[in-house]
Amino acid sequence: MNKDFDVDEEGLTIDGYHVLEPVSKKAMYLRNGIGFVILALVVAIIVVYRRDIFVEQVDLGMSATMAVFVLLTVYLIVAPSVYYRRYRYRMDDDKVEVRKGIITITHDMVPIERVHQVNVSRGPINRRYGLANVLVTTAGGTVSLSYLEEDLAESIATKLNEKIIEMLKKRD
Amino acid sequence: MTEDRVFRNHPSVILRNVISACVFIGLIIVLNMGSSVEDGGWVPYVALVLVVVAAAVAVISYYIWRKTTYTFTSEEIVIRVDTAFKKLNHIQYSKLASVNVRRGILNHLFGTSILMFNVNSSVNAQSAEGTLTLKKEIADRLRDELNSMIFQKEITLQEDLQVPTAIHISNTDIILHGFLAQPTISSIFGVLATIYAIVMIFFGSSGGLISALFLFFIGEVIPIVTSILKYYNYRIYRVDDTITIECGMINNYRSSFKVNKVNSVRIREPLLARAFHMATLEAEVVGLAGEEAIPILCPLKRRFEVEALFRNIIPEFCDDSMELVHQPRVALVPMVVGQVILAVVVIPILYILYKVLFVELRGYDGFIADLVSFGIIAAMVVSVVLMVGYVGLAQSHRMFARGEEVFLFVHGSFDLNTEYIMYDKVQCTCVMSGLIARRFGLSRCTVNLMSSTGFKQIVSGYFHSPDLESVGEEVVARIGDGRYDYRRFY
Repeated sequence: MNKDFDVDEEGLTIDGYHVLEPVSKKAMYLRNGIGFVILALVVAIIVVYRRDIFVEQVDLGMSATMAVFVLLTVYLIVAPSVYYRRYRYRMDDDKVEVRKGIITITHDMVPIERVHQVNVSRGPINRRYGLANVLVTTAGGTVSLSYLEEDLAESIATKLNEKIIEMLKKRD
Repeated sequence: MTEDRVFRNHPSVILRNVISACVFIGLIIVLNMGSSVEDGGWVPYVALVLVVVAAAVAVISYYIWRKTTYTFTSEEIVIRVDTAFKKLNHIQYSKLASVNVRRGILNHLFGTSILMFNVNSSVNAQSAEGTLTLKKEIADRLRDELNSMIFQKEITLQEDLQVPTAIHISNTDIILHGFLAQPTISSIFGVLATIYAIVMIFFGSSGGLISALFLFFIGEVIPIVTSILKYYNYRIYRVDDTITIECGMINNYRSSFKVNKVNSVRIREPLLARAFHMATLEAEVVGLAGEEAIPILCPLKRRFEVEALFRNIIPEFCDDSMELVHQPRVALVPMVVGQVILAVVVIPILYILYKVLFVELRGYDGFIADLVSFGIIAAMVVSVVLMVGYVGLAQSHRMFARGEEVFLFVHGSFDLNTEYIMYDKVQCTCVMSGLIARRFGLSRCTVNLMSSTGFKQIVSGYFHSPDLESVGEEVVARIGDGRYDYRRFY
């Protein structure tokens, strides 16, 4: 990781992006932990019924299953740390931007003028850690700001709503 | 409209509902009868069921017909359904994007037309907001009045019909369009279904032949016939800011839309058509629904003729100052790696299939086993050839260009799309770079637009990240400095 991810006293990166709070990493690990349990159950079922599933190619089938299992397990362990380090977002008067990704890094940009709707959602995992997601909806798709602290998520949603209302009032 | 006018659907809609229900129920019954079809004793029972269905649908349709009214006020259309399921729908004229006309066989028989009211929304994009069946003359008059409000058009339908078409499209062109303008994947599916049908005839398998013929009809015949029936007698013209398309052999379509409702214009070149230097011209329009959702501005013609029509019919999307940038050569690396990963997945699957079938076919005679083995090995070879072809064609054709008001992506591989997109219509952008592409400073850009079918994503090829980032930045800059004026698009 390079110095693009270092933050100053105000919690901003060199190019003015915010980074996530460390608690978000716990939520990601918990989510992936649940994912791992489901994956392990699926693999256990395959192991039990391997002769019915792979018929005469049991060894080949089991080798492929185990290879996929190991790969996905490694991914589930490593992903939260990488995702957390890479996740950045920023919002100014004109736009909302999110940079994130594990294997593929994406940079989403939404002009505030195009925003139709802003939702704050809290799933059970996020609620446990006092986190929330902000879903920004345009007529052409959505962008999510994930794993934000609840107060911050509410304040971002409020600011966005205020900007939209202000813009609509100007048009009237 | 000075005074409120109340309309009801033409009573023929009751007959249409009865016929549709009977055909649907009749098909379900026949398809579920299996081998008992051959014994004729079922006919009276099916007839009885159909009579009961027809009577029930007729009564319900009559009730709905009586209780449904369309009121045209000076401001809006009010659709009131006063049945057990009450519905009140207000469609303001200012929200109407288009009023289209459709005429099917029953409409021709009864001298009626179906008016389809489409609003500026991606939410109700899958179907029209409201439809009203009226006597043709009344429907034409009403449509003229509504169009004059939506499009500020002064001319009437009768005068519209005198406007010459912007390009001459013969019915031979339409037949050619039916065959060559299908996406390559559909054509491949059709060819495979044909081969399957021939093989089944060869082996005398009646069950296999029926499935093969079914696939052949679904994959090849129906798309071609539908396309020919739909675009027969094609004409297109532009009056002021309104483009109108008329076509249809059995069902007649007349779609009008304002140029400011067009989000992007696409020159589409399926592989087979490209071999003959031919292309089609299509538009992404907000406010059209159903079968006319993505209007074809030009069925398959020579590429230079398509480009000429493009400049003539919708010059707002042309920008000669754009400098085309080819996908950089280093883009070959992430593309090849992507295809190798795909091959690593596909080839073992085919190999496992080969091994499994080899075991299954041990009891069959040598020829069938050889044929299946040959098929699987051929599939492996074809997969590799297709992967190499995909990379080669994508690399040689993908381009990107930025203009004043529009930008351009040439994307695809076997089928090419040259997409002209207005910055002011972009809803959001996403620049993404994978593990390999990042090493070379390359990314791909997804542009999200509102479209007739909800929303649409257009993905570019691999280009230098800052170049693609500039698309989103330009969208924001245009809003900030006032070059984007929302009033242009209302």
